[in-house]
Order: sequence, then structure tokens, then C-alpha cells
Amino acid sequence: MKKKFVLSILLAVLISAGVMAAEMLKVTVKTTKLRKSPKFYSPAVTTLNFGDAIQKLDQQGDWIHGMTTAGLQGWVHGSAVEEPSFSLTARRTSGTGTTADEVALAGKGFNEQVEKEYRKSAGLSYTWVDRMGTISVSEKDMEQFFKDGKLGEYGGGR
Amino acid sequence: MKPMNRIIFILALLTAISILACSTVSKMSTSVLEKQGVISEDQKDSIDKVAVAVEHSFEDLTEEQEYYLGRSVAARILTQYPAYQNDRLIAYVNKVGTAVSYTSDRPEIYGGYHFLVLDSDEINAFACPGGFVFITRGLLSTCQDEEALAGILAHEVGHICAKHGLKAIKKSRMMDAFDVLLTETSKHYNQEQLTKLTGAFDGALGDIVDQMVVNGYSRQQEYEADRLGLQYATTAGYAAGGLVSSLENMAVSAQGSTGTGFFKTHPAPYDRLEKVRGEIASRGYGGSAEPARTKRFHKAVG
Repeated sequence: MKKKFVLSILLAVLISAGVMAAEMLKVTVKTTKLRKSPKFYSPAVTTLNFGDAIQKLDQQGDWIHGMTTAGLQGWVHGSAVEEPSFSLTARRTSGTGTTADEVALAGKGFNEQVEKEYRKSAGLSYTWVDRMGTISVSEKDMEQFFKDGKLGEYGGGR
Repeated sequence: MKPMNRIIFILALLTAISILACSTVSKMSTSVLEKQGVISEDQKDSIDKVAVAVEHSFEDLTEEQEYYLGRSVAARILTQYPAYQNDRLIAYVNKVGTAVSYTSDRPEIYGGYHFLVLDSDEINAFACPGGFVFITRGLLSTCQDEEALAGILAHEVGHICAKHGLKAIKKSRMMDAFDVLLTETSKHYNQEQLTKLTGAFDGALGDIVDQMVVNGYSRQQEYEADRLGLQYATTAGYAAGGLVSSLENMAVSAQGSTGTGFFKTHPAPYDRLEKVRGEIASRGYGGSAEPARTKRFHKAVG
């Protein structure tokens, strides 16, 4: 009896894992935007940070239409989020390169603390690396760049 | 083992592996199953070992870990090559690089893509894990238009998407790192763990830098980056001929080269040209250089 109970619990975990994975997503990048339309240079509805939860409502190609816990709706690219994975391979195979356990392993392994320790002995300058990290092109500038250069939807892009 | 016990064991194994999203969770679940008397201690150990074995791979480095490795690889590149301080040029190169990253397999990575020009006459480009991409002034000067620059940057983004840098990390470093990762549940490490992790970090950085700067990626990895780069650049709307013309220019430069820098670490441009032309023909890639793009290229690059 006890074994049958355990058996059904294990089966329920395996089945519900698949159902859960289809609905809730977690942000896996340091920061990204929930956008008004499924384009990288579309204006932002709100900023999303690592670990934020998004309820998946719909999907259009690589773009996911989702809703934040605050009820804001918009589009986020599939490579910026992960489905909590319970797959047998433990890795996503969507080709986006995100491993299955980004959020669960957040801050572990090679992290800021390890970099700090490494820097004590390595004697490297991180000034330009830090400066590189701050270089970003605004959505408005990127859209203008696409428009002027006849790229993407404004030209020969597919 | 009785049939029922065997079914439970197999299901427990499947469940443990399936929630391998976090090995800590996996270990917790096997511990619970062991305490409940569902599986024996030996069975628990064998399940945990399967989980650990699966985990020892570069693919299991999170994007955040890739980002931290990439920062230090970039810092090491920047000790050998100074940055070229020209804000207008940096802004332009970042726009071209960002455009081809949009159509890549990994448009959003932990810290985003960032592009920098290195103040060196050497013809070279580097793609560090985590999205840090470098192109030398020397390589930039071989580009005739935005198509060629886009082709090169898309090739570098291809290396990052295919995780070629991370593949250079020796398995022993991963085992050392995951050894600490699996035994420690907090995100803050004690000195002993930190020393072990930092050692693995240092070793992994050395593996990546050796491959990028000293030995170069394998021919297959270069061809793969060419194939991906062509795909990303043409999907964005750039002419497929961009990578061809940049390879042709490199081939000319290679004739006078002493076999250092780029030519030491990359397959001969003629070999790559042949493959790239074949890829363009088989995929039906086309397009032509857009005058507006060429004009802004010359304005930014000078």
C-alpha cells in the first residue's frame, strides 16, 4: 500500500513537472526588458531582473508573451528566460544555450567572490572590462540603425 | 529486487535525474527517498553519482558563471592588447555587433554582448565567453564596408553561441568546481572552498586563453563559427559577401604575414573561403552591400 502511494507520488511529480514547465518562466539574464512588441528594439513595458517570474501566455517564434507577477504584459525573448526544467536530460534543447538550472544555481560556482579572490593574485586591470559592460545601445538608436541601414524589417532581413 | 521495488527504484532514478535542474535538489530528494525506506543507501549513492557524472560538463556552467569567466578572459586579453579609445567608433562597432547578435542563437545572454576595438596593427579578433568581443584596428582596416565588419562580428558571436571557449576547459577543472558546488549549499564560500574554486577558475581561464590566443580553435570550430556567422549576418539583412570579402582581404594580408596572431590561430583564409562559398551556394544566401551602410561605415571607421 505504502509502495503504491510512493509510486503514485513519483508519477505525479514527473507529470506535474511537465505541466508546470509549460506555464511559469524565470529570467536568466542579469537584466532585460518586457517589451511592447516581439522585437529587440521595441519600447519596454518594464525591466526584468534575474530570477523574476513570468507567466507564459503565448508564444510567437522565439518570443514569449508573458505577464509579470505585478500583472504587466509584454514580450520577452526566449533566450532570456528558462522553463524550470525537470527534463530527463536536465538540459534544455531549444538551442538557446541556457542550461536548465540557471536560477537554482544562481550565484554559485564561479561568482563575484571567486573573481575577487582571483583578482588578489592575478594583478589584472578590470577597468576596461567594467567599461565594456556599461556600453549599451538604446532601443531607439538600434531601431534608427536598422532603419537607416535598411536592415531587418526595413530591408533585406529575414 | 522485487518487481515493484524495481519499478520504484527506476522511477526514483528518473525523478532524481529529471529534477537535476539543481543537483542539491536531486540530492535532497534522494535523501528523502532513502529516509522513507524507499531506496537503500547504496541506491541513493548510485543515483547521486549518476547526477554528479551528468553534471561534470561545460554545458552545466550557468550563464552567470560563463559571464564571470568571460570577464577575466577579457581582462587577460586587455593586458596584451590595449583598448582603442574612440567613443564614436566603439558606439558604431557595438551597433553592428548588436544587430547580428539579435539574429543569433543566443541573443540574450547573462550580461549582454559588448564590443571593443583593440589598439593593435595585428589582424585579429577574439570572442570571450559571456559576450565580450574584441576586434583589432588591424583587422578593422581590412574591412571595406559594414558587410565585412558584420561578417567578422557575426563569426565571433558564433563562437560565443557555440560555446567554443567553454569547450576548451579541461574536465578536471569542472570536477574541482562542481565538487565544491555540490557540497556547499550557500552562495558564500569558506576559505578552503574559495581556494579550490579559485584554482579551478584560474585553470579554466588558462585553458580558454590558451585556445583563443596561443593554439586557436579547431578547424571545425572555425568553420562552424563561419557557418553561424553567415546565418546571423544574412538574417539581419547583411550581404553574404561580407564575410567572403573580409576573408579575401585576410588572404591577401596573410601572404605577407609571419604566421603570428590571427594567422597562427585560424585556418588558412583560402580553406575558409572555399567552405564559406559552398555554404552561401547551398543556402542560397545573397544580398548586396547597401550604400547607406557603406557610407556610415566610412564615416565611423574613417
